[in-house]
Amino acid sequence: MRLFVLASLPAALLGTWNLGWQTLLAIEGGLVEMVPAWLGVVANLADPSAAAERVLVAAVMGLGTVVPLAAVAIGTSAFWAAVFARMRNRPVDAGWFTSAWLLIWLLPPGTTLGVAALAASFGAVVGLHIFGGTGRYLVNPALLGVLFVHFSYPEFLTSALAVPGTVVGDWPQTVDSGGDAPAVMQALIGIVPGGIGTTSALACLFGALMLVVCRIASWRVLAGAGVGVLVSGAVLRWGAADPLAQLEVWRHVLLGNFAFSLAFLATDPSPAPLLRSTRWLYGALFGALTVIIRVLDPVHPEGSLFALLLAGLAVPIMDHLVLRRYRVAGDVS
Amino acid sequence: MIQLEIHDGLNLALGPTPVDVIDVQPAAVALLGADYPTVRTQPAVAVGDTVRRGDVLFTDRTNPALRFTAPAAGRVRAVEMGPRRRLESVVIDVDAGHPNPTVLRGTPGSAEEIREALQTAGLWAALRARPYDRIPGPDETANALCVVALDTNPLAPDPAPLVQARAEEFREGISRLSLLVQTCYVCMASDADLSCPESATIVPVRVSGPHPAGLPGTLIYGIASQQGRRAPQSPVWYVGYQDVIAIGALFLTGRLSADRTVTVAGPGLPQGRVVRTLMGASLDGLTGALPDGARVISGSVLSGRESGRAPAFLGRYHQQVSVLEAAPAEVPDSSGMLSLELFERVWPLDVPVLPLLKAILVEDTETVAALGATCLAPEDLALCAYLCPARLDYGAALERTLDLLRRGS
Repeated sequence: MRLFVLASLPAALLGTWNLGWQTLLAIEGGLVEMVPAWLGVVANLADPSAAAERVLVAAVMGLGTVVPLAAVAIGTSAFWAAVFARMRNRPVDAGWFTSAWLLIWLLPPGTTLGVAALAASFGAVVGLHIFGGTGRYLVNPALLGVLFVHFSYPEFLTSALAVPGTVVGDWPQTVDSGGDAPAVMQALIGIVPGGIGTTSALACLFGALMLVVCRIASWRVLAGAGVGVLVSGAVLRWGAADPLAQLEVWRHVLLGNFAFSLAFLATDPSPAPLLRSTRWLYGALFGALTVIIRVLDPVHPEGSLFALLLAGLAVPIMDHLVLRRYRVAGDVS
Repeated sequence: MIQLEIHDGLNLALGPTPVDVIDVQPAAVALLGADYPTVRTQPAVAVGDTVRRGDVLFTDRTNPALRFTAPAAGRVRAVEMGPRRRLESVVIDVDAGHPNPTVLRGTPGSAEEIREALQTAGLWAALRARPYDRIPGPDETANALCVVALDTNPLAPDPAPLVQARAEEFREGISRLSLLVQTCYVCMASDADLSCPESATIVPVRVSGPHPAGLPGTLIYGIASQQGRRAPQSPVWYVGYQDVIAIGALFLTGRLSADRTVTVAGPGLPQGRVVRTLMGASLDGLTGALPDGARVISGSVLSGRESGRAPAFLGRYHQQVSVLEAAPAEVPDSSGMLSLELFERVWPLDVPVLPLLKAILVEDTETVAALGATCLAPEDLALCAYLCPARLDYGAALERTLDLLRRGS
């Protein structure tokens, strides 16, 4: 499970810097009304004409926001892991850190520390420990934790900056208020507003490849998701008039949390399907549902997390149905 | 002739297979209860008794015709009983000077006579049956018998030299055993220089591919799959090549042969070797002096048995002794099964492996039966257990689940 942390490290580092960078741009552009004092001070340190200085300042601003969030999320998860280990008289669960780590990067950047602690608790307790820990849960705990924020604190959804309450979301979130889709290169590298660690499709691709090479992740899930996005995107492009539907189909992969969810959540081996065919189905369902929710549900323009939840919940029934094919006629005993 | 190509599997690199052959006359031999988990043992000897080779040491309480005989002459040193009146071991101090008596008189020709001769000599226990991996009942019949004349376990001995050297006994054993079943499959490595009689009832099977290609489970399911079935539909027997030679020798000479040729090798031993010894031989004599903390395992490193502190003996069905370096203290992991494709890469059978592993971990007997997995044995899952990141003991889980199924049916 430690490999997940290693594989997502580039996405995490790039995302942290990007968070600072987006915040710096917004402050300089006057988009933000109430800047926390320390951010304003740090932002003013940078000379607007010195590129290297601004990059450095952005990194400091990103780290300054992420480190407290990470400390709270990891600390809370460690607490629950210790509580359950003691309660059950068993060794500490092997996957508690990975769950906490992945949750950090999925959180909307404006999440307050208290909400982050709640999300980490919900993910750890309801997602991980009550099922018996790693290898036994049904839905990825990090996914459950961030969905908890989405449902209970929807005001954070559109906060893509380090400043709480500022409505500058990633593009799918703000598409209805106008604006163009981010340029392909920017979305690929990840210099766009978004979740803390989820903006860089390239870093996520690297992570996914690393997990496949290390034989943790199944390439069938990844390929299935690609097929799902392409097919449902093509169908919806032909049928719907929404600006998200009119986007080139393949660009859905670069948007929102999709790349991160696919690389690090959909590949989680604990709730993963048990058969080759259901891996394809699971991936395809995730990809297709992402585009469908994005295009057809105006309330949730960032569809990937919900799509992953639905696809994950469909895994046991898919396995069960496909497994009927393998039943042996007659009794051998 | 059947060609069986196994693609999925894994050959562990543990160094070269030894070739130097030496003879070791063991100081003690033993029959171990752990080799016969389904037998309810009834000892027939007491401590201090003198036995000849072929004398009955214990029988099965429920099937008295099932006899387990002494592999060597000598004095019974110990008859150890474990919990629930289970036999742990019968240990004999070997008296090498004793002559080998004749245990078979006359020439049995019919299937019934062969069956009786094998049971009298104690060689019936060489046969094993699936489903549920057990010794077949004395009156049981089977459609198919697999003669396993290959061994893909890491560091296992190469059967070819032994089978070539004792070709006559091997052929005799096969032709006698083939009378007990409808079809006798003789499984050999595709590159081995071995011949076997071919007839309507004796079918050679040429097997290629990495471990577990040579495990009886893989062969049984492989042959079933060649016949268009996902799993065998009726009980299948199997027997190792060394036992076939012993059976052949019994019918040729009338005497019980208890020879075993095993490899003694592994990372814990600087120089591996092939040892000619007796069935159930004491492992101390086979390994010689060992480095500190070395672990001695009777059988394959993947699925063999480690004896711990008790004096160790060669298992009834084992053809190798693995010596490992001292084990690092392992941190127990509490995680459950992870759905990883690496299990599928080492799994050549048509039974889907991940649903099977999941089912046995929760002792879901219904699914195990529906998947047709009752003909598997713990050793078939040894590679999965070896690769499992959570270090789950799938072999023990399968044993528990099959035990539940067997009692229920």
